[in-house]
Amino acid sequence: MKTVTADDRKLIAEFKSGNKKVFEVLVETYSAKLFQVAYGLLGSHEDAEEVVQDAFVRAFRALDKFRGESSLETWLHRIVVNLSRNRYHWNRRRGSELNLSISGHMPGLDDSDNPEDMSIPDESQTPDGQLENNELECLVEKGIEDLPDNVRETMILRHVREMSYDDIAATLQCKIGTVKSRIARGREMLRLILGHADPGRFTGSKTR
Amino acid sequence: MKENLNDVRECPSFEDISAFLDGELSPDAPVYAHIAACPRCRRRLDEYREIDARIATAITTATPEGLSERIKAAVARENATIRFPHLHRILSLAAAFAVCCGVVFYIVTDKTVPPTVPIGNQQEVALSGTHDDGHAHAVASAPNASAPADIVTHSSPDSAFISAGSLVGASYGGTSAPVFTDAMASIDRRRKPVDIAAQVQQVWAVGNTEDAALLLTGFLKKMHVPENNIRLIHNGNSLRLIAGLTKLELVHLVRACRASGLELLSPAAPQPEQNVFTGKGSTPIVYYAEFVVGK
Repeated sequence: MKTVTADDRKLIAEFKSGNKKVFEVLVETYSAKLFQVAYGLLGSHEDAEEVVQDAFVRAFRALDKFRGESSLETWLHRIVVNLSRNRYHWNRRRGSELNLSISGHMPGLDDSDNPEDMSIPDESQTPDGQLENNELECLVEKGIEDLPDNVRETMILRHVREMSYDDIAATLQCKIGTVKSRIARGREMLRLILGHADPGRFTGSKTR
Repeated sequence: MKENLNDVRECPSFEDISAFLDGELSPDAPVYAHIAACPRCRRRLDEYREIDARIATAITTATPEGLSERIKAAVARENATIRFPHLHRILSLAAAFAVCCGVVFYIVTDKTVPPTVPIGNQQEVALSGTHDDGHAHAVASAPNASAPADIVTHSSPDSAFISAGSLVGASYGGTSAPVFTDAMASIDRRRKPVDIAAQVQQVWAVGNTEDAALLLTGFLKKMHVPENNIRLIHNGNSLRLIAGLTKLELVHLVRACRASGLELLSPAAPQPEQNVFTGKGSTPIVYYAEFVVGK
């Protein structure tokens, strides 16, 4: 597990002594990495940037009280994962309020009272048909989105940052065995989704 | 050989295969020898590898330019707030005062608009503001309310004259008397409430689909429409947009498209010049638009 490093200690000491400018080192070092994690969790550039910015502002406020129980890198990742989780659920709630049935049935589309509304060819009513070529890619994206929060977060830290199980466990504050189990579960769930969509690609049998 | 067969029969759990792929097992773990000899486990390993590759494609993106600088600026603002704790309160009070002044100014200047009467149970929202912010103007919506005289129905002729004149000035850059009558008719048309259907389908003529896609993406982003609510599909010489919007967002989008030189071919509402619609601005609709090259 990554503990606070000598560089971390030096940076924190300078920060506490009043040199707030030293915080920019953290921004330079981690902003891109944290952005990738947030993007993996949220799938939106705008949301990812907002979350990372918010994470750094919060870290700036709290660094004076940082106890050094983990490395700064682990701490920052933890903040980003937590903020991303909040944003993810907020987006989902907003999305459902705004009617996200774009790919689903459109009531009234076929029986519109206004003939002018039919100025677009009928094929537009089945947009999913246009996306067949990207079906597997969409399935993976949707599959990741539908994973349980803790599985998705574990998978993203592993795949985006190539973190060791040890570091993931420190970031998410869980046991290594839990990380191992979540990653395997995530892979297996995606395997089953893809195998269902394309039976020739993946075996249906399950290893015990 | 016999040992290998035993290994094959007793396949490791998928958790171990997964951890093996991640290099998280000790090199002397029996799983290594098993997987080397077991076609089924090797196949599973290959499947996991393919899934990993697909995940990497799905979640990887370029880091936006200037990200660090924007974050540093945000942190600097935070630092200023911490160092000057009262600054935030002072700025908030100043902002509140400015808003109050704006509201007072609006109320005073809005007296030039003729008094209006709500008709029936429909809520009609004027779109001259930027948001559905409660500044809804109830308007006369009699079926034949197209003549300028309807504007004066609920007001004296003088006040109607002032109202129309001020609107002309606002909308047409202060055009002079010769176009006044036409302008008044145009204003009245703009104030006729239109119905926006739950699903709106429109066709636009564009120069090229790439520019149109950039334009649309920019508009939708500015309006903070979630990316999940938007689909842009390139289809040869046309671009198809499917978006979950609110009525107000749709009207702003249509206007922005027109302002950017796109030509609306479809007669379906809302047209860019229409500034009043029935219902709430926050009502969700689904917008289907086809952007075709040429006219």
